[in-house]
Amino acid sequence: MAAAGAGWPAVCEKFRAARTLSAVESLKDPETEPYRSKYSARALLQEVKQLLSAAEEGGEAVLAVRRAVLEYELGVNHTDTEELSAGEEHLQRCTQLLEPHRLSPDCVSLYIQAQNNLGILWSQRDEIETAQTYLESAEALYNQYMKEDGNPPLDPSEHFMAEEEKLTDQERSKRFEKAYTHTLYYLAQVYQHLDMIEKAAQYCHTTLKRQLEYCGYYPVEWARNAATLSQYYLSKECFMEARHCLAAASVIFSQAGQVPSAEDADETEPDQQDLPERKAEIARCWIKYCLNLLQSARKLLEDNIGELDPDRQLELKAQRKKEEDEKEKGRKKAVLFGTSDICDSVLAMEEKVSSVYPLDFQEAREVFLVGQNYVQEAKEFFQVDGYVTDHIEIVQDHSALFKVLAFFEEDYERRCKMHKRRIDMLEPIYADLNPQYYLLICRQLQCELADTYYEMMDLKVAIGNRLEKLDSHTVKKINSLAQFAIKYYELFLDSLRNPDKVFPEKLEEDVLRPAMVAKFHIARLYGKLITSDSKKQLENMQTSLEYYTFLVDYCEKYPDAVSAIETELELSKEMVNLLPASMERLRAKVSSFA
Amino acid sequence: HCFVQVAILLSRAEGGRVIVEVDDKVAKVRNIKVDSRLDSSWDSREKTVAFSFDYCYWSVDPEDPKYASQEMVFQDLGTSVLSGAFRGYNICLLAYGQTGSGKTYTMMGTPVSYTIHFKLRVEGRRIFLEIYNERVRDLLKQSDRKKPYTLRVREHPETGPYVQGLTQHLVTDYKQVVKLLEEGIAKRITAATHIHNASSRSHAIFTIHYTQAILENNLPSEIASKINLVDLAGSERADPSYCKDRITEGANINKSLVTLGIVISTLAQNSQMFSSCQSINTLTSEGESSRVDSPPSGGSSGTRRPAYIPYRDSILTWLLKDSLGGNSKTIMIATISPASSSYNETMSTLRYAANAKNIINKPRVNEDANVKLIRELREEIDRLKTMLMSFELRNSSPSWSDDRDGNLTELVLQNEIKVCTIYLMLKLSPAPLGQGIPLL
Repeated sequence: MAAAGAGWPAVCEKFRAARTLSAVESLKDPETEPYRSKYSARALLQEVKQLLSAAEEGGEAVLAVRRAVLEYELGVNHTDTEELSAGEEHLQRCTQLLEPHRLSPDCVSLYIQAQNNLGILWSQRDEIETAQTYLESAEALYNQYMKEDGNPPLDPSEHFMAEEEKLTDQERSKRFEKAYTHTLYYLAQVYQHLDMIEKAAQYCHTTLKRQLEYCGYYPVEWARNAATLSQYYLSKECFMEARHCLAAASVIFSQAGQVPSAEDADETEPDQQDLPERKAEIARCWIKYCLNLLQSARKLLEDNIGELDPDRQLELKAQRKKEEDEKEKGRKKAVLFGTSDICDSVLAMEEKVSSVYPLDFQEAREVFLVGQNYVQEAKEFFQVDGYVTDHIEIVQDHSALFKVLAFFEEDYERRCKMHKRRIDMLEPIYADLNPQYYLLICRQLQCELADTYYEMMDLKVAIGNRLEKLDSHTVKKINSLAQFAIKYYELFLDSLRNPDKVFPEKLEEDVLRPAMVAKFHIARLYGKLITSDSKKQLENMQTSLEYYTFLVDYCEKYPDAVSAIETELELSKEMVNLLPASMERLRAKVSSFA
Repeated sequence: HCFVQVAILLSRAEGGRVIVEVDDKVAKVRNIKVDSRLDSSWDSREKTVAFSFDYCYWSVDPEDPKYASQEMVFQDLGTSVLSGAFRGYNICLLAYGQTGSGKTYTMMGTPVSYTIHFKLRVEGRRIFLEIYNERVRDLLKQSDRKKPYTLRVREHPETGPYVQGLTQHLVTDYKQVVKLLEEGIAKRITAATHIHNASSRSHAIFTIHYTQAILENNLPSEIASKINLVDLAGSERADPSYCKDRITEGANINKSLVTLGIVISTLAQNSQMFSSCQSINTLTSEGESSRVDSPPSGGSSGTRRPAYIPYRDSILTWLLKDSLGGNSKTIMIATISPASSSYNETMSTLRYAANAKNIINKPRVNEDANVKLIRELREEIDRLKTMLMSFELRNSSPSWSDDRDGNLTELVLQNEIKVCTIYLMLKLSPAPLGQGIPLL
């Protein structure tokens, strides 16, 4: 016992050294010996454990807690170095020692951390339900402690500190809350693995919220995560939550580079040089927000042939008026981020774009313009040279924004101009793209260009139908648009040819429908080319017939293809029956004139 | 044909009894967990688990009648690789397996022997790089060890994905290739831990670009293709803290809040109707079955990813994306050891390899129902039918057969045709492809 008085500071020193080795030094270990410092730390902890009984001065209870701290450290050390069974033993011993006192301020934090680590350990063994049990019990313990006591509990490391070094209440609280934040974060992952996606998202949201509350975040990282969470909400069509996440992301991101917030020492510093990229990423999340909001609105408003349904529009407008009063209530229900100062900026940010469905062109245009601004912002970083796929996806989104805006536009001429804008942005990027490396994107662009030309032709026809007489200019325009549509469908079909330029005998499942639809559309297009020359018309009808016949023959040869294009096939069969007769008639007419 | 062919190669039977046997294209593994019980009659679990693949090779003991020599493996796999590349396919050969099961040897050995045949006909540029912890390093550069991983991956519209600053080597003879390969392999990272002596924790990619000059219709032309030989990190479990930026395999929980973003992005990804397609990232996270087993649904609307997940593909996926799907051929060689001591690794490698066929990005079509088109086409068909029927009626009716009436008929018909042509401009709703861009 004589050694005890002099020995205790030395023991504490050893313990501290082990912690430094484990948390700080180990990051610098060479790649060839990744665990060098962890192994040294382990040796030190073993020594402390040996010394412990001799250096004791506070009786059995204190000794037990200190032992538990060591068992915990050893347990984490072993799991960190891929020795799970040994790790489990140590952690179990830790919780056994603490069990009777787990609700005391001395032990509660350590107990929660031990359970966190047992959760991690069992997840590594693919026993996720066991992990869940540990983590949920940690969550329950936190809640019970906060209800019954609530004072900032001791941090485990304090059991190896001299009295004068002990932490302030503020620091204790921060560390305790951090341990609990980890519990929630691990639970989020557990729920994710168990396919409880909504619960997982809720826990992620809470984790983000707590990071903000306890200043445990890097602005850039946090903003990126909040922006990502917004994309989850988009998929659930929760536009208010999505917007809240994005607005918070933008606000917090603007803090980057300013005063760095108090940070966890054990987490690595994020890369400041990536700021423009991060900013552009958040912009892209905003683009998707605008796009999804508009597209969802379109889905609500369209009639059975994809046009705006005015009755539906009136109905939804009336409904919205009613709901406006309840909006405030919903607002409170949403999980709001941040303290009051951040809240104001977030609210201001939110006001820049609506989170309710746009129901007419004016409203749609406002959302469109916000989206378009973010397109410009995102493109500043994601330039085509160096970021081909990213750049193109942004352009495709831009095109999609125009497409959905056109839905709200009543005037056909202006609608047509919007589609022309799409063509103008898609054609040049397609032209520069090497299909050897970007085959899938090339195919997407070919299809989108073909469809857009088709749409424009369709609009020109509608415009033409309103005229007294179809003038030659409109006819020319219609034909040229149809030819372009055909060109891009053909390019798509050509992309399916193998390197020997042969069209595949049997189409891969993944391109079957697109290829058939392209053939079908080309068939239609040839049937629609306007010509006063009967011979030319016969040729077009013949070509049209050949494309319809392709569909019919292919499905005869490969009956499993039928399910992919049932309706198209049925119509093609009819056309294959009817076209020869119509052609016959036309021929008869031509000869009778001759 | 299938995009991915999977071959299983067994070698080196050190460390206990042999528990794997090969029967044609099936690999059977004895379950040692069941097997070890003295009386397992009450145990309902299967004693053997069978996996079938495109090829299985037994390369353990040369005396064995079933023994598959390297030459045989080369014959099957190397030939198909090179003939594909020769015709202009992008080729990707992936080797996956436990450290020490011979994957590096197989991978790096196969192409080299075969490229000899090509050296007179093709011009090859080679690059060799290593990806470690999502950072890229040039294995063919006399680099200083201080800044080993600073290379950035980028894309060029004409020349595809590339690593900025990576050295390229023009190779003229076989010796040079071998020398470069050996140099590169020697520089790869291996880590010594208490569990593994030399575990390769990095992916290595050896890329051969080559162009052949050919005559097409008497005009000089060229065929360019690319072979990627990928030696994936050892399938033994790596310490999660070693891949901080990646979500770790299986049901693992990521420890550090640094990975929160990845967790959220996985959530966002999974909850999307068109969650983008499989990525080869699952290669690095052995058999994360939830992802591998659930191919994305065909979906019912939307042309591309409806949401943006601001986490990049893993560098591996990024660099190989032009070699997966489309006009490319992919072969995975999974190497396992038949010894009982490797049971766990063998099982996870086989499970992973069995899922490898799902790693290809497949474009998805937009299934927007073409209601408008269909409706209008139906109308046209009805109109044509009526028109033709009336034509027949008129033809069979004698009163319509005289000249004057005939002319009138023609006039009417002419107008009809015009009306039809205009009416029949149908609106087609789009059917673009949903491109699968994987998230790793």
